[in-house]
Amino acid sequence: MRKIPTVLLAFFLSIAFVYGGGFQINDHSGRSVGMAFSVVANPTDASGIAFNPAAMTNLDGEYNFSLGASYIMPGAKFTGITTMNQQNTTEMNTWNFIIPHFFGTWKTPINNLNFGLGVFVPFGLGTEWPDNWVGRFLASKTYLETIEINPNIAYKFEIAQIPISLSIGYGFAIGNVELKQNISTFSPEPILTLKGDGTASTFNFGLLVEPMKNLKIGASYRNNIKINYDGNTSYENIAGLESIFQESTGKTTINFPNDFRLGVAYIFSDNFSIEAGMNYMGWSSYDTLKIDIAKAPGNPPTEYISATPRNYKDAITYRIGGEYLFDNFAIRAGFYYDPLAVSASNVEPVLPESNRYCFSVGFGYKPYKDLKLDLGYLGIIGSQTNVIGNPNQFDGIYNTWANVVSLTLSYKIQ
Amino acid sequence: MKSKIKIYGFFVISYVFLLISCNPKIDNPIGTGKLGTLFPEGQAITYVAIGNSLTAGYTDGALFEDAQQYSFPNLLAQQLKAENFVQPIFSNPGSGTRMFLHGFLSDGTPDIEQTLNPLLSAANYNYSRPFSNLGIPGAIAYDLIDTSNFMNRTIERQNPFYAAILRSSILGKSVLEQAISLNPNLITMWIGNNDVLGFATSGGTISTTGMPDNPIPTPVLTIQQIIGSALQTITQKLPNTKVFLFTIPNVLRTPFFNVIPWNGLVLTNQNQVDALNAAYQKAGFKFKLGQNGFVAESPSSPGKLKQLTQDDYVTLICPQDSLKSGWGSITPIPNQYVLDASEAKMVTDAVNDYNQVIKQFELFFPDKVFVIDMNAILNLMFTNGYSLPGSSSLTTQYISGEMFGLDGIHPSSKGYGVIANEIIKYINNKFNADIPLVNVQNLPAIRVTPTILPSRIKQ
Repeated sequence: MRKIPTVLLAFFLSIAFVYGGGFQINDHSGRSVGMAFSVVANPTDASGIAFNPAAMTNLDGEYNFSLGASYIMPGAKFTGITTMNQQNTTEMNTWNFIIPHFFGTWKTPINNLNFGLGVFVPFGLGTEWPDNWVGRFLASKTYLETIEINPNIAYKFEIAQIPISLSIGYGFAIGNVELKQNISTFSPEPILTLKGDGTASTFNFGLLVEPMKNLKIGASYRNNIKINYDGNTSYENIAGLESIFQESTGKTTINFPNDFRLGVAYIFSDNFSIEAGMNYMGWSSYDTLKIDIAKAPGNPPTEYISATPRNYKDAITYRIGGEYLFDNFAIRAGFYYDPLAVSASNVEPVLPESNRYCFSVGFGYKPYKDLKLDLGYLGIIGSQTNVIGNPNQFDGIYNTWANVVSLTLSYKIQ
Repeated sequence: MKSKIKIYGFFVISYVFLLISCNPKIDNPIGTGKLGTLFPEGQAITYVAIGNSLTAGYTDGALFEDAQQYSFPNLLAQQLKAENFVQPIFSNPGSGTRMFLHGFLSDGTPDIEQTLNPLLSAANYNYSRPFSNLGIPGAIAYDLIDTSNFMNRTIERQNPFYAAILRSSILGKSVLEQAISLNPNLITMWIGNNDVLGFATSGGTISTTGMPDNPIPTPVLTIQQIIGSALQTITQKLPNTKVFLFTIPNVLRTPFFNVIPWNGLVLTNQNQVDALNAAYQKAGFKFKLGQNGFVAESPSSPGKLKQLTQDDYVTLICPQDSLKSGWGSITPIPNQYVLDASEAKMVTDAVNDYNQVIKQFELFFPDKVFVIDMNAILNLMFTNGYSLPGSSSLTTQYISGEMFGLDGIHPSSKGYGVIANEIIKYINNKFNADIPLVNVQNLPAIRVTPTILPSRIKQ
């Protein structure tokens, strides 16, 4: 009998971790969510470590802690396949995420030297489509999370009477990845699951300059996180087919992009400030996806190594956010625009992508002098993405949106 | 004041929260169901399918309900929203020699069991009108117009489907009469495949029924007369009916003739090589270490033996355990499992001749008969594969290619979906229509039945 491998292997080529703005997670505090993450120059609690650790020098307590979580509710619909017809619209399964965050800062006994620690999730993604949906040979379920443990030190000094803060940090990243897809050849359809995990180290810098009393300029750089995942493949629905579909080890690498941020905050009065900024994401790190499966499906199973070009490009996000303070209340609002980091034709159901318009509102409350509660809401509206000329011919229309609610409790020890 | 702000803040949050969720905005919708110039808008479609096993939805060696729902006529009827399209239903496991794939053995060989299911009657046998799907497995072109007794034909040809599908002459004395009595405005006709298939799959040992036992496929002139007269009758009695006539796929492109390679005789031992070279010295056959052409019976060759070349074919039904235990070397492969080059040429010539004749009917019956070149589509699949969005390409590889079912001749359900889509594409293109395509991705390819059937336990 002839070998089976060609077609069974072809689907591995389609394993396509598409990622872009859609799985960067910024939702690291209630306040930052409320201000559309325009908190690079003027973060006022410990969660600033995620956005610009240099700014922790401006926190007034000896210790500051922030603890909270964001509830992320993404949604997407796919219409098509448009090369065939547009009679079918599939909505992604509801899958919401609670993403926790913790930050702490400490004014050390050494003058002007601050220490801060952040534990947060800079990248994460989960998509799940209904069982029998038309794109299940590309993706039925995808899950990805990267947790970063990020200690920083920040030092404040003056040059020509201009206060300047600098920070340097180390990041230890722990990553998990899971991908599920169906295999078309047999009925019932076998389901492949790839799971892997890995760790990586990275570093980051921060800078805060305060040239005038009311003006703050912040900049922050986070280096890319390159995680080598070790994992395995497993299968469901393979009764009788065990000799073709064998569990195996597998390897892949994902290079999460570097992240450069700039923010300019103007404090109009004691209770009103606005920050505008931008975010340069080096998505071009994701030029190729390499996968190595020791025993890929086939007759007999053999090693399979693929390198799939992904063609991502760097992208710039623009943000603006403001805050108005009352006695012990604050209200906030913001907006940002997050463009697609890949040409529309390369958008895949692993991660429905779009140009995204994001509106935020937020609310702060201080029940006691040193305790602060921040609630933020972010609404993300994706412009419709029309995919034409997809490499997998999976042309169609994606509509995407997301709702995010973030709640953070911050406490200060004087 | 403070509490107002608080309430207002939450109000804004909940308001925006409810707002966001998006629906597609489609500027130029595709697949609207528009009929274009096929029929006047609003006219109901009555569709009748005429043909053989390919029309019936036969797959895995049998006609069974699970696969019949994906017959190309049934898929087409659904996409066209045709009215009252009724198929004969053969309850599982169906009628024929049903093949079950239990899985793969450790050496990679598919573990296929064949079970004979001589089911003689459709579940809806008492349906009061002729069936809309008049595809009769095993039917040759002549069956289109043959008015002989259905039960007699079933007995003579040991084919249950004449009696089971056509049932009573009260419904019409022939396939053609039954079709016309349903007064369809759309007909698909795919006939002639079995006029060459029987000859081909028997390794060139059997003639088409009713033909002299030379053996030969049905002569092209006969095909021309039968199809011609059928089309004449249809276009006269149903002047507003559109007939879609398909070309015959070249059966040599199917997995049935391409699974067992002609040079599958693998020799690993020099003693074997020497012994065979000595044994076949007279015939001039040459053997070496590695792959060699099988030795097979061949009535047209000198000494009635032949060492196979790349122009010869071994059929899928050639028993593989026999091949492993020596067939094709000292013991020649029996004639009925080999289609040698001269027989293969007869098949290819017949297919080409039939198709030339079929294509001409479009000219004889302008605006009434339309020819869709299914052979060209199969050829494309054979050479390049047929790409499916978001899925692997369909090819003519056995099992892994997904296009053909376990018998290696009949399409899988996915394959029938492709056929339906090619018809829809033709209609959309020709008549400026906008009928939605079938989501072929959602149809089953190779059915796996891991359960061991009772008949197997006995062995």
